[in-house]
Amino acid sequence: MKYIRILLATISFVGLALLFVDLSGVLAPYFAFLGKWQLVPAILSGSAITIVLLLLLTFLLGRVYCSVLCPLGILQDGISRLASLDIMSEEGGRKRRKKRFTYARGNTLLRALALALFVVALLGGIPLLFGLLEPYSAFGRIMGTLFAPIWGVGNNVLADVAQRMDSFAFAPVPIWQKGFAALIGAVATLAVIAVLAWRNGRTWCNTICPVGAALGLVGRYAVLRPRIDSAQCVSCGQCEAVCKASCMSAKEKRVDASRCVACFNCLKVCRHDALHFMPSGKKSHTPAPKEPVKQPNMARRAALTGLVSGVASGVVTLAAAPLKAAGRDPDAPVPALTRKEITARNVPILPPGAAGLHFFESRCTGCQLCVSACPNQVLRTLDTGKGMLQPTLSFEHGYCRVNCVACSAVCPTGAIRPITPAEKASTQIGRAYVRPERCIVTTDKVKCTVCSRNCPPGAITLVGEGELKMPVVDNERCTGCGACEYLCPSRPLAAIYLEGNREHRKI
Amino acid sequence: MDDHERKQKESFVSRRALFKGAGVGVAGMAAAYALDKVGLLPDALTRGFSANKGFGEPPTDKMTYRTHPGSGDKISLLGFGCMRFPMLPQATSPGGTQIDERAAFALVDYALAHGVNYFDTAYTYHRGISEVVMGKALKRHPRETYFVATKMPGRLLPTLEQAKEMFETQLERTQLEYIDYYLLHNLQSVDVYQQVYEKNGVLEYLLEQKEKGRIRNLGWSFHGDEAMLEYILSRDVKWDFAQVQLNYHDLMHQYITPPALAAMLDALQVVPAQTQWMYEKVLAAELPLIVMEPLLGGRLARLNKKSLAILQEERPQDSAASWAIRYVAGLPNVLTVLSGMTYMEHLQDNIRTCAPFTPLTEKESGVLKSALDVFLSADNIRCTRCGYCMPCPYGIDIPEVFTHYNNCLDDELLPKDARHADYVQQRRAYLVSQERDVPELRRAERCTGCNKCVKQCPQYINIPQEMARLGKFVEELRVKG
Repeated sequence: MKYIRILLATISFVGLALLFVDLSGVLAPYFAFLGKWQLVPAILSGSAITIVLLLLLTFLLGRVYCSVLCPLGILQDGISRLASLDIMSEEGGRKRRKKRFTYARGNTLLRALALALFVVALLGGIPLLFGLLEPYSAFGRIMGTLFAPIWGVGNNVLADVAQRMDSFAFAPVPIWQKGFAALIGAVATLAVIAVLAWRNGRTWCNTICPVGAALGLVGRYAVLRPRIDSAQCVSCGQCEAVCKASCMSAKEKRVDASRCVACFNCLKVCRHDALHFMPSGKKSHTPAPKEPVKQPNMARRAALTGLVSGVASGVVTLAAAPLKAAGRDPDAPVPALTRKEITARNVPILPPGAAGLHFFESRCTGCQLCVSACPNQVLRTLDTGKGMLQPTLSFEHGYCRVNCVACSAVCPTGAIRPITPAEKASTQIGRAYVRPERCIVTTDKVKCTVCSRNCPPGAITLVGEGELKMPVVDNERCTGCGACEYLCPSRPLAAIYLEGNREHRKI
Repeated sequence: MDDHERKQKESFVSRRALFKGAGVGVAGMAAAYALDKVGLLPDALTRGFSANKGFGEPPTDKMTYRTHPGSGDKISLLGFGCMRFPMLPQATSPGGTQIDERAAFALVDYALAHGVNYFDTAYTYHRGISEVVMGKALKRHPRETYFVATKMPGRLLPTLEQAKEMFETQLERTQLEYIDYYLLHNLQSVDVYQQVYEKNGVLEYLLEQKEKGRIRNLGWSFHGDEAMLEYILSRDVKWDFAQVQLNYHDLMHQYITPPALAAMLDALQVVPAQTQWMYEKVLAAELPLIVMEPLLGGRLARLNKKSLAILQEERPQDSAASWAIRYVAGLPNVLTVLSGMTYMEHLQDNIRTCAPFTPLTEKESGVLKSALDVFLSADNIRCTRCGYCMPCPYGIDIPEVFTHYNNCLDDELLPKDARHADYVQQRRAYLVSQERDVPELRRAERCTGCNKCVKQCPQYINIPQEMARLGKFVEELRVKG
């Protein structure tokens, strides 16, 4: 059973990881379902069937979700496994594994608190909080901001090789920092779970993770679960030593099913045939004797809370230095060859499919899947404000092409609802505004047709006497795609820029 | 005889047979060589396969020379153009200054060793570095073994003082006492000519320098409109030579100005001189001609597949470039044919073509014409990558955008119809190669249409209009796929 678990976990982990780092857009359609099987996204998207199935699964088999479907959980298992390897090598020739884990009493209060906090954040619309706590999204940020760039570098090396071989198999991809807050969040989350998993296995899942806590409520009553046959058990402690959830007490011959993540490691190590994955028996309900209370490790807990609050408060506003594009001409600097600065907007522009600001903010967990999936390099993560960690359209690297609905196809929470290109073409997500004082027609006194020529819905007209015409926008036709802002030659900011619509509308 | 012995014997036999075969082969080759030497080998066998064509080192002693009627200079038919020196990897654009000196010196040395003795540079080439590098390279050889041409940049509108300074600078850069062939660079419009050479007195100054022997021959290079050519030919000045753009592409077919371009030219109030008309004029003026752009900036060295196949059918070993050079070198009054050779292979190929030079036969002319017809049926942009349009004030890499498009067209990678079987593959190839060749911020869709480049282009390409077309084309590719 353990091997089945590992196999399934590997499949879903690799699938989800590829979903975030793959740049070609080829794999996304095949693995997007894994995102949609995640519990919180399923709740947010109102996918009743998925929720019922997951709860049923947990009721039947315990928290297999945490071992097989949750990518953050699998990541922790991986880290924990590495830690075990380390210990084994230290032991030299000795085959027996060091006693890695010990039983710990569950911290029900902290779990309940985390869950309550999460629910309040979700209902009260505090996206930053529920976004940070949600395990799948935390994983997404780690993959999207930390590993996708590494993958991108690898891809570009291959693309370079392909170019030398005259092959078009690999195309170079742009690599850029798609959100500072998300990066910090990812680093902090990774650091916390890495430390916790390295030391104590699934501490995160059983103290902080709201999904763990919620599934624990169901798992407590799981039909099938590891049970200790007190007649056979000699309290050797082998099972306790491999229990990364620290939910197994050899001394008391008891398993805390609310914390058990159904990894089946214990079943394999028991040599006394005292452990079985089986339905509730009569003998199991021996009332828990008062146990000697294990003192919680205060220092560790303090460090933990410190780190978490650090993530929340320590997010810094990104002052994006304009990227110097590679100009060939050393003695004639061309402003248009620098990357534009990020435009500050009153209302963030949301992907088509997100019905409006309120709807979106209360559903998006900031998993970065859309940001990773965007082939037009137009989505990045907000670094400030209420929508911190959530995606927004930003036109420094591209604009939102009318044929593309990649973000709406992958969004697991339904914050970006699935739409068709036809619907997209008639949806207005924002409106363009002209800043005449920045337009090169004003500053350089030259003719310019970039915005009007490239406007997909043809919503920009040039007006004025003679050659030097200024753009004007028909805001009943503008879709808010950002082509004008992206292509505008004015620097450091475009002379025509987009402002988001609070509510998306049909045009 | 046991097995082992038999095997040994067999191996002896086979070795003997081998020697025999080899002997016959060597004898045969020797015979063929001898027959070829005395010209007895049937033409069909040697066509395109003769010893100095396509194989081995080009000869050092077979260069064709032509004599300048005025000075009596014996000038090699192949002239070395210094506008396209090899560049270091950091700066690959024609406007860059990072010349790979080691490679440039090797080219110049090799050219001299193989009989090339005419070197053409200009004040503006490689932003002035061309003159320096050429001067350095030639300094290592005896002065009487080569002729140097350089030019006065009239388009920079120098005053007399500035022109004097420029000329002195040129002598300093090239490290020369005198210039063999000095040109008024890139005559385009009468206004500029009158302003610089007549009003500012620069022509008078240059004629003085000729008197002093610091200029041996005075001429001009021409890219301009009809009025300009009429004007320059009507002046009471004894021009020693003229440098003009001649190639089979421009001469073999009547170039019809597309309506949109005609509108642009109307707005600019210029009538570009048709090549045929221009050539007749300079022939009538009996000027010795130095040919530039025989390959149209390399366009004619890299034909599309179909047209190249027509040429190779006729002469399998000959490059497209060699056809182009043989064509212009065979025209009356041509003194030398300039080629900007970036790579040793270019140089070797051109030397093979000119050492010795054989004019196109009548049949070959016909073949060339039919290849050109095929070539012209494609929708290429006439860019020669000269880079006169650069730098674009809004960052567009004009030569690179056009080259990418032309190359895709030549390689039959230009996606046309979404229903075509190869559409998906071609679309990807086009977009990926654009990703590689043209940086994101330098692409066609970003052209502002400011029109500043239009007046710079010696080929009269309506650059903003082509940019708008290509930008739209690529955008449609992206959206459709």
